[in-house]
Amino acid sequence: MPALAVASDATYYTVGNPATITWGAADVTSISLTSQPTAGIYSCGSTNEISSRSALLGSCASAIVTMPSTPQPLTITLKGSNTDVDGNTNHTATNCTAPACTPHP
Amino acid sequence: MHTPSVTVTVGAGPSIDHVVEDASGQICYYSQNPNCVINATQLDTISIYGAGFDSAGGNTVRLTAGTTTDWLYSGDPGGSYYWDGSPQQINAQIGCSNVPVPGTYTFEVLNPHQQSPSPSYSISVASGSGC
Repeated sequence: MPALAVASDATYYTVGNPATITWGAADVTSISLTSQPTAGIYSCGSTNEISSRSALLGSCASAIVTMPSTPQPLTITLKGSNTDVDGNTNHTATNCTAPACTPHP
Repeated sequence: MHTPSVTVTVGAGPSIDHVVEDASGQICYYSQNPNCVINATQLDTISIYGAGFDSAGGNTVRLTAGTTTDWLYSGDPGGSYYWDGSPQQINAQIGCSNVPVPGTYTFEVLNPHQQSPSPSYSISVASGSGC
């Protein structure tokens, strides 16, 4: 099942400013953000743990999102899904809280 | 389906939480004391901590005293140190050429995309040896 986490580099931005949105995703075939990145997708370096297991798991990336031109609260959501071997899309993800999570028991 | 999210606030302009005068270590926390005055010399560097600074750069610090307006900014021809690569911190050397006349100024941060500047606070700039 997908395991997702998302974080921003600040909690307050001035209108029109760039926000760096960083995410981690494991066991997904597709992910998307509700706010469209304005530039490329970048790798990221982080010490955020997403699993206590030794097996390699997940990946991390970041993108720049330009804030709106009018003051407002803004929620940016990461969506992810995968397709199991039976061909059914499984949308159930482990609950984990950015910036770190431990998705698998 | 679990969809993690972050909620941020998009505001009209930057804000200043506190300022550190790097040479002496003096700190003004403006939520506790908005009348706190930073004491610095023309050669000192201050670190401004707040929110809503443009991490892509272009932020400026405006100092005003009466009809005099001075600026701290990246690319000062006088070579003063300036760094504003974070949404939460600006490091700025006051600089002899930026602020040629010692005195007490009010200062505020301006963001290149802002609709309003930050609230303003006070800084006392003394003559720097070598200016």
